[in-house]
Amino acid sequence: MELSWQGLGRGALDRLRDNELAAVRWLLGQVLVLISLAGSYSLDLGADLLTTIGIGLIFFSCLIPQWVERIPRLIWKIAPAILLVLVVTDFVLSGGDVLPPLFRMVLILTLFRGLQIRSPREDLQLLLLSLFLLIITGVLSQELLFGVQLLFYAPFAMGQLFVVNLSVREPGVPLTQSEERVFRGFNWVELIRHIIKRLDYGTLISGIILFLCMTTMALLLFILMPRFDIGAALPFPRLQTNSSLTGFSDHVEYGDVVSILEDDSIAMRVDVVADSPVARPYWRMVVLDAYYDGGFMVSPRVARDHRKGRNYIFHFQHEQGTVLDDSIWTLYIEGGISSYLPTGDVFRSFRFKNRTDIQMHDLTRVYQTTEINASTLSIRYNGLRFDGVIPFGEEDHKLMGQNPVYQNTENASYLKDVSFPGTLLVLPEGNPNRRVLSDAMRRIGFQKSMSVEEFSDRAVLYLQRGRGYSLESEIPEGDADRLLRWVASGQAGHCELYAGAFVLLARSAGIPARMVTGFVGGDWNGFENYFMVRNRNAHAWCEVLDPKRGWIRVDPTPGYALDAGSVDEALAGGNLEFDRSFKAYLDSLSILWFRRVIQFDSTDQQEMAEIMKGAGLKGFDWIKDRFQRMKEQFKNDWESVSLRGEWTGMVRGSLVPLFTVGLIFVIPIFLWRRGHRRGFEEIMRRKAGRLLRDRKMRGLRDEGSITDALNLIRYGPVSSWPERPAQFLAAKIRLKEPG
Amino acid sequence: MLIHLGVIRMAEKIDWADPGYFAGESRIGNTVRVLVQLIRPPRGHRTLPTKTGMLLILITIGVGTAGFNTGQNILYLALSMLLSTLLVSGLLSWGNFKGCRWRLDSGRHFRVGESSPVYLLIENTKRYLPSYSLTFQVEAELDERLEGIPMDERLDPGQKTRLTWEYVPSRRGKETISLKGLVSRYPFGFLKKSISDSYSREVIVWPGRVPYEFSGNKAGKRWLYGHHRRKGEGVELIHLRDYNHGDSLRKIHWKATARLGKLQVRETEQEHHQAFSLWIDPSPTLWMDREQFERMCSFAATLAEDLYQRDQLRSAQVAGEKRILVGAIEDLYTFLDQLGSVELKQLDSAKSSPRQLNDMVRFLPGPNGTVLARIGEGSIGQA
Repeated sequence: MELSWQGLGRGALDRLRDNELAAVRWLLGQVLVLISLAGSYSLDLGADLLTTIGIGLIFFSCLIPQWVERIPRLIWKIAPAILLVLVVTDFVLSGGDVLPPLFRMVLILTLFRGLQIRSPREDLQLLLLSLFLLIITGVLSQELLFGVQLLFYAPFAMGQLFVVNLSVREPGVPLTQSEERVFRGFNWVELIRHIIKRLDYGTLISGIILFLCMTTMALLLFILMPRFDIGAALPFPRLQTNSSLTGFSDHVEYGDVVSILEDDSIAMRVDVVADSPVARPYWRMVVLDAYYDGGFMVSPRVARDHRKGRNYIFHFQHEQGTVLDDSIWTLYIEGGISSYLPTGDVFRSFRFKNRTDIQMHDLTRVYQTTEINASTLSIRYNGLRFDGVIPFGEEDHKLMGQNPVYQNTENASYLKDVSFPGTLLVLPEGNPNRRVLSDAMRRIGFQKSMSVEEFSDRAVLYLQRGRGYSLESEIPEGDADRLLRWVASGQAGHCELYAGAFVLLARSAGIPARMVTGFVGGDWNGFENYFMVRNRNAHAWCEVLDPKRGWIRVDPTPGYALDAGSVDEALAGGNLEFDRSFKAYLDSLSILWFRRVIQFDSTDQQEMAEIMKGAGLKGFDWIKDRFQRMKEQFKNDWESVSLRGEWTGMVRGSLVPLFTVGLIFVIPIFLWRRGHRRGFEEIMRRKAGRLLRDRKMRGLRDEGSITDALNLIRYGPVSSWPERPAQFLAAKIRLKEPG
Repeated sequence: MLIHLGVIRMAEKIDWADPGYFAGESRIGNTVRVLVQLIRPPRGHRTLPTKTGMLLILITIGVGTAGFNTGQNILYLALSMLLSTLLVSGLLSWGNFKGCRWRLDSGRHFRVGESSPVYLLIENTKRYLPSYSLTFQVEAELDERLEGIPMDERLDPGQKTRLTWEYVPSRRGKETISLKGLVSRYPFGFLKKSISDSYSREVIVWPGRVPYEFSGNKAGKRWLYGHHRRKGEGVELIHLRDYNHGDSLRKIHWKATARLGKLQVRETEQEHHQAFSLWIDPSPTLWMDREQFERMCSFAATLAEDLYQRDQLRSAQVAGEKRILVGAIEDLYTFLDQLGSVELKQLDSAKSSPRQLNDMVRFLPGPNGTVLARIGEGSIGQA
């Protein structure tokens, strides 16, 4: 049988017909697929093209569903076999990496089901597939997008289930012929018009209220559900990637850091709980000790000598006298930034959300994960400090009193002869290089008696004198090393050039030095008070070894020498950008998501419980106090009345408030009772009905007046009821006898 | 007065049934009861997961296990949403029944092989919310038939609807038509909520009609004008009497009614010449074959009805019961009710012997399962 779509708007039908219900189901299914597909872009699983094609097809099918219906059945029958072959091939070609092909498989299955004209049962399958897809993307990406998706997905899924339930009158009944020909002559406008006409606004509003209740209930459950120690948690598959931002790998070539300085996207968000956090924290990520062909790299020994750890919390010991506060810095590092973890100068411990494999390079105090995370990684530091001094390493004492080592740095083979910590004093050999260095030393006014700090100040002044900051530097040709040619040229430059040049100058003065790359500062989000560190905050600076204090941070790049002070001072002085733009507002939602959802654990639950307990006790104390005061007031007023016959105080102090409170309670009750008059009538009628039945069952002699009165209450108009019907019925119930 | 009587009859006849959520008078008491019932459903109220519901529960358990084991808050969030969906589903399911009341009603007559409607009247007394997807389970106990009658339409607040079950009885006898319960998978199909109900109505299913042969002209006592004044469908007035339920409105004598202040009906003289009395003997010694006995019941019922239509039925009697002098249609119905419930029964000889009337039609087993109708020794019909 073929159903017609004509004339639906004329109100000939009282309810949505089967084909209309089927169309609504189908449309809701398409919406669910679109919502679940949206999250796929946040994962780097090689499914972006497939997702784009899928979204396009789903949109197309929504606009012209008649075309989908025209696809021959044979194609739908053959398609599963072809898809099976595709999926198996994908698994085989992925070489043991299960997650990406698994994700693509679910994606393909969802799209396949999503493009079909479906029976109610198949709609439920689609619902399941899309939910699975949604959860996978959410778990792997951990983005705020998942929360938004869930918020949209839930009402549509509820609507879909509701319509499916209306469609299936008898469970197990197969798709009827009429439903298979849903869209012949179909017209969305007619359908929407008819739906609006038949829409029950009471149901719609209550549906919205119910959805809000459901969301609130879900939030309460989320908060109240018991959390266990993360240490006992099983590792969860985490997405890895091979790509990282240039500049944060163990080999930084000239221009690597600069290449990301124009990237305005967020690299990490930093949440601070501290009394007076620094306004411009230096986040150390990679320490490069070996100079090589105009760039710096991590020497083989530093890369090789590391401790491995697998835990969710890591504690660190420090020399006696090291003072660490209780500040907490939580970093949410975007996926694909680097395997190196941004750290401060000194800290007590750091912890992850889950057990994580890390490598600890103790020689340079650098930490890295074994893989580069493709999704957001959160890490929480305790007692983090940024005072510019990094404690001595285990082998730093070997460097004391050593002279610079000149090597052919054009070739990395010199690293076979010189290893860490010797690499910290290596300079490029050759007369042209020596001439540039000795000229620079002369201009700096270097003397062997100079302290490291004094030399650093002078060297920075020398480098910055007459130069400016520029991302594009034209280094002149010459015999000397490229970096030294830039030093000699007096041209403007960027952080890599300044830092690299300073390292060479320091080494020339016999001071061990190394280059550090990482992030500096960031913008202060004015909505949620946290640092938004962008990729353009990537920076390179130096660390020089002071025999008395340890490794001292020196930043020779112009504009960075000034101490910005604390966040409050910097905001007041305009040295920290206070971002209250709309973009910052959107970004603040992300931090809320990470703070309140991703990072939520048993500690937060305990804190919330404490807050609730505190508020409860406070409220109880307030009530107790008010009651006590009222009691004393009443006592005084009563004494005035009894001893002196003065009623004024009593009336003003006690009776008027009591009367007011009474009115406040009585008026709503009065209104409520008035509003529920209908309910009262209903109750009276039922009660009279029960009494009538009771009389009949007990075979009581029929006395006209009683039966008449009961019948009047049961069936008659309210105006004909006896006076005080409730009391009348109550009396009959009590007596259990007529009369 | 008439209206008042009608009210009393209605009260006795039927009343509404409801889920019993708000059985008490106290609102606080009702609220507490409802809350308790949400945790511990009252007797007869059951909530079971459907296949889809079981799947959802399994998914919830899976997500929950993964969440607890991995500490992933995303999974906790998904788990919370799934759990709250289940809870909301339960609440909505409860709300769908709330405020609904229903009653079972049926037609007056049930006859084997003929469609007799059974009505379910449903009212939504809620103020704002409609009710959906209710399925009423109705059972005919004698017939051993249980059917679900779905309410396809949305029932808006304050509205009533009537569902009809076209019941075709297959056996005569005392039938109990009962509303066994309500089932609803509203709103999402996760839970199947049912309320069992013992609401029932007893009806008597009359025997079905059968083809027969009957030669009425051969026999039957002839009643002549002036010889005997017998009640019938003629025009000559015999006397007036009080109105009885079932009397034709055409027979009401309005002038007399107005004068006396209560309904009066005319009784007129019978004009026909021929009339019969039917005699049913349910003795098992007579009816060895059960099927033949059933056929006899059908034959007698059909014949009684047709004779009444022709105004040729004088009386009817089932052995052991009082003889029914058939005047009004109600008398015929009484006889058909007796036929509907008659069973093979051995009676003492006094009860099983009919008064010897000239026009008495007796039913006897015939050859090959047939049933014969006889007056005296002569056969006048067969079925």
